[in-house]
Amino acid sequence: MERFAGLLQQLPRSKGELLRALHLAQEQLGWVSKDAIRLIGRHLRMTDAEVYGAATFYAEFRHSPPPKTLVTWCSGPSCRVVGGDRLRRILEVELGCQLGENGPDDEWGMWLGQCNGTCERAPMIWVNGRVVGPLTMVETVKLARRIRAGEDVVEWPQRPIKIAPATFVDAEAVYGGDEHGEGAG
Amino acid sequence: MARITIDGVSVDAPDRAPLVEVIKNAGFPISNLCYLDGLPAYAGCRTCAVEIEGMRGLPLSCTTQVTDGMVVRTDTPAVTEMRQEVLAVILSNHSDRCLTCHRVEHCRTGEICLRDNEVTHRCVTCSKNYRCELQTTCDAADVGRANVEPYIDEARSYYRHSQPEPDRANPFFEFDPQMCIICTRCVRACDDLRHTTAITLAGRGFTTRIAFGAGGQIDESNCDFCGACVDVCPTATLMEAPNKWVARPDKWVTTTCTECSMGCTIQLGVRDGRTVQVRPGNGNDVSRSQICVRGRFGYDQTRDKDRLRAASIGRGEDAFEQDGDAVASDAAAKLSAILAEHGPAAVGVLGSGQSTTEELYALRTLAQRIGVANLDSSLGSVTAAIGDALRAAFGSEHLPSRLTSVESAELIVAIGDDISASNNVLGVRIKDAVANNRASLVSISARRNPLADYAVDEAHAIQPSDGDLAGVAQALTVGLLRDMDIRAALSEVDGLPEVTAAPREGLEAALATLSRRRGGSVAVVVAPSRANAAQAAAQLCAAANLAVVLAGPEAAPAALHVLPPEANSVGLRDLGVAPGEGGLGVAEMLAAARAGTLKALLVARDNPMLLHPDQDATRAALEALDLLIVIDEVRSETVELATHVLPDISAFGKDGHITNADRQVLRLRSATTAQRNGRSLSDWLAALADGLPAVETTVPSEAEDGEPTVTPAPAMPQSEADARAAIAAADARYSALAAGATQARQPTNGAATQRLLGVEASGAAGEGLTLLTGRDLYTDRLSAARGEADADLLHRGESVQIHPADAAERAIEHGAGVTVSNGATELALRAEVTDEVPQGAIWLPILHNRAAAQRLLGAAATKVAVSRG
Repeated sequence: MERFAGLLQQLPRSKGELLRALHLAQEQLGWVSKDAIRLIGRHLRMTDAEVYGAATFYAEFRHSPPPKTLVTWCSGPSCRVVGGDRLRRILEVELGCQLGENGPDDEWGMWLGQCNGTCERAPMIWVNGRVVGPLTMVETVKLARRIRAGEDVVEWPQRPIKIAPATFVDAEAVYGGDEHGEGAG
Repeated sequence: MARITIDGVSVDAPDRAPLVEVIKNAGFPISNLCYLDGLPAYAGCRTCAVEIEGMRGLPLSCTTQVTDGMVVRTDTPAVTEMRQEVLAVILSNHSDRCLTCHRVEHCRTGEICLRDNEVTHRCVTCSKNYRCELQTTCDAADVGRANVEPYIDEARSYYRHSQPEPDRANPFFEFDPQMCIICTRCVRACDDLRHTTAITLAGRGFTTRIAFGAGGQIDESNCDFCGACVDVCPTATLMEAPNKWVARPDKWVTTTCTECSMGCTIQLGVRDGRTVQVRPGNGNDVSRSQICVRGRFGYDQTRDKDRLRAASIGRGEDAFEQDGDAVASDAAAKLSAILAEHGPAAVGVLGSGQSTTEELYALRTLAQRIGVANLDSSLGSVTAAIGDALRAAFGSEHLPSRLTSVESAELIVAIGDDISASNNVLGVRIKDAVANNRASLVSISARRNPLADYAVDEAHAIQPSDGDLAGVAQALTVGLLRDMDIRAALSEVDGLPEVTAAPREGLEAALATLSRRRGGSVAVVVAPSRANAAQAAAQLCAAANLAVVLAGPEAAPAALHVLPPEANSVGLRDLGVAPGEGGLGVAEMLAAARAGTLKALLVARDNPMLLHPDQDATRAALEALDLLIVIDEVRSETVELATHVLPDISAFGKDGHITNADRQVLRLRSATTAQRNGRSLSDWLAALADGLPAVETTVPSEAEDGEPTVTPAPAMPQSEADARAAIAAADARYSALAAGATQARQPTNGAATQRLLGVEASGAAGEGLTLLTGRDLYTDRLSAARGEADADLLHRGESVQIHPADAAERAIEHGAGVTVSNGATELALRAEVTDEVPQGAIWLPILHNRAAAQRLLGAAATKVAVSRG
């Protein structure tokens, strides 16, 4: 926190620096805490509400501390076409927390991620920033249970990628969830 | 002007006016759920659509500007259908209990609901029922006939989502997000009308919601509970918590708030003789649609059960309740005896700036009748210091300045510890000038306040750690005069207090801004210290000097704005409730009482224990008196020391006038009934006067000294027309006085430097930390007077604020107990470690814990020792 406060002081005191300040908070603290919002507001001469409004507009700024094991669910179209929504539902059930939430004691949590172009591994998730995929449903259940058990899953065996022929999927399964997976799917 | 046709009726309207306002003002029903009069259109609700000839589709009337020859229709089938569809979308995620009840056709406002008790889905379970703008809009648009949400079936979309929890953590507002339709009126009111910006839109898309501060509870944000958002909320989302369910007033009475010297016009919603709701009223052209937390919620903190409900005789254990007339006649008899034995010099009278002008007139007349010259008020030395300084600077106390000019000023200097707390609405107007008018603001306040964020930059919020605001202002004056580097000015000019307590860069930055922008439209706003007369005098002199240098000698009187401490402080001065010839001031009276030469004191609604410095000495003085007659509303410490107590009624129950900081004479109208045995101060004074001997005195007339000191106390106006005439007459008098005052001080060119006043250093000297004190926004005056533990319902001002560096030096932790001592008196308090106070100073709200700070304060600014434990 002190390091963040120090770095914040180096930013010019203008409202235009708000996004840089928020990025700085997320980078240094892992999330945008209320204290960080207060410090940013004080430095940029904005109110807490102005900072909070901007921070909540962008989905990737986090408002709760990062968990020990962070599962990031990819919301990109490629993943969803090949069943990413089912991955999400399995993870929600198995981990016991909704998208954007942390599990008990911040041991694990699931956040929304945006496609970074590793679509050859769809459907995939990131575990602590590392791509894991393509995942079958059974593998997802196993993965989630190992996370729950507190095991290290960084060394998850990666399957070789098969380029499968295009398949038609049930439109309900793909588009049935809410936009960006907000609310109950 | 443009002539337009609305539904076949021809209406004149200013060119380019927003059409929706014109339609509303012309009396046509038009729904608009997001528009705020006077602010740019938001066009969020889309219910104000109309048909305009020659325009395609259904334009929104809020974004349409009036042009000549426009033909508008507000009630065609197409418009109605669009409105119904739009409302259906809004209602799809809103509770509909008031709309879909099968009995809704048969019910009238306020009727008892005849449905089964088990039915929770009833209109009466919403506190805004029959007061709700959304409900009215839906009724007017006849949504129910359109077979749309929520009327189609039982499976309404509102019930498919779980709803967020309401925020009921604070005593003033209730925030129930499930009722919200995201019209953003509150966001814009908080931002554009108040410049508080405590409310924001959080998230985006369908999950957008209203949030306070950093997304927590309202009381954790920087919300100052002014209630502007409550006023504009079209649904039950934001509600006043007090009297939420009963606030369906029988009548609305327009009166004047007496919480500070702004005199905001307020409307009291009265039900069964008691106030249940307060709204801003139109009348005061400075406050307009704004009031503050004290004006809006102060009424609820003192109820009839908390007021004095019986007259009594005797002190402490010996006190017993008596019939009011008996107490009055006994008091008068004792007072007569003292007058006969010791003469009028042994009797003192204290009035209050909280009284109406009529009451003060009665009090002064009573004092004259019995020949008593010892007449003053507890804040008399402060108000006298203000008056004397103004006389010295401009030859008169009557300045031609109008507070309405503050919001259009280009350069503003605000001198005073937290003007946003002492005179909240003027703080809003200063922010208005900065936000809407690009004014440059220099804030001189020892404690960081909400205006600091509106100063040109951080350096322009100057916080002198010794509390010597006057020294800073004077330093700026001299720097400007010499037109040279402030460092040189500081060292070269004689009689200049050495400014060491304020950061150099702040002074230099402020000086650069002031010298760049001087000469334009300038406003110097000063809220003098209420605790220390010497500081008040110095601040006034310094502010007057600064006004002369910035605006030029001719325009200076119109550029200086003084905010006296109490609602009717100006009226009190005008009426001459001040020591007469050879009479004693309040400090001398208390000293004489301790010495035993003053035997009797009549205290009319005043409270020296709360308002006069050195509380222990005040207590000793009041205890030494043979006779202490107190007429007051609540059981204050002064009342507890009294020998005779007479219960006064609330300011909301009185008719009369006050003169506010702007020299406007404002009307108080009786709205509430008196508490048991309560009578107005004037009645008690009349009862006392009956039993007192009259002494032949000459009443000072206006002709005698040229400077009229007497506002004619008008006979109680019997009708609205009388009152208006009285106000108009008083206004005319003040205009004439102000004009005369301006002429009287037309100076010659180049004389400006000679007319500048010397300013004594008024900062605290010696070892220790400077004790800063002043009025905070949340502590209720009457609750503090009667020693209520919850005088500050938000508990924001209950601790002593100390700078982190000072705290670290003394090993004081946030929330820990501290002892504050001035050598003689010690206070145990709780510490709040914050950088809102400068290093080297502590802040303690003056009214906290029955004005405990007054026990530490002496005649001069005070340094105190602060230690852990």
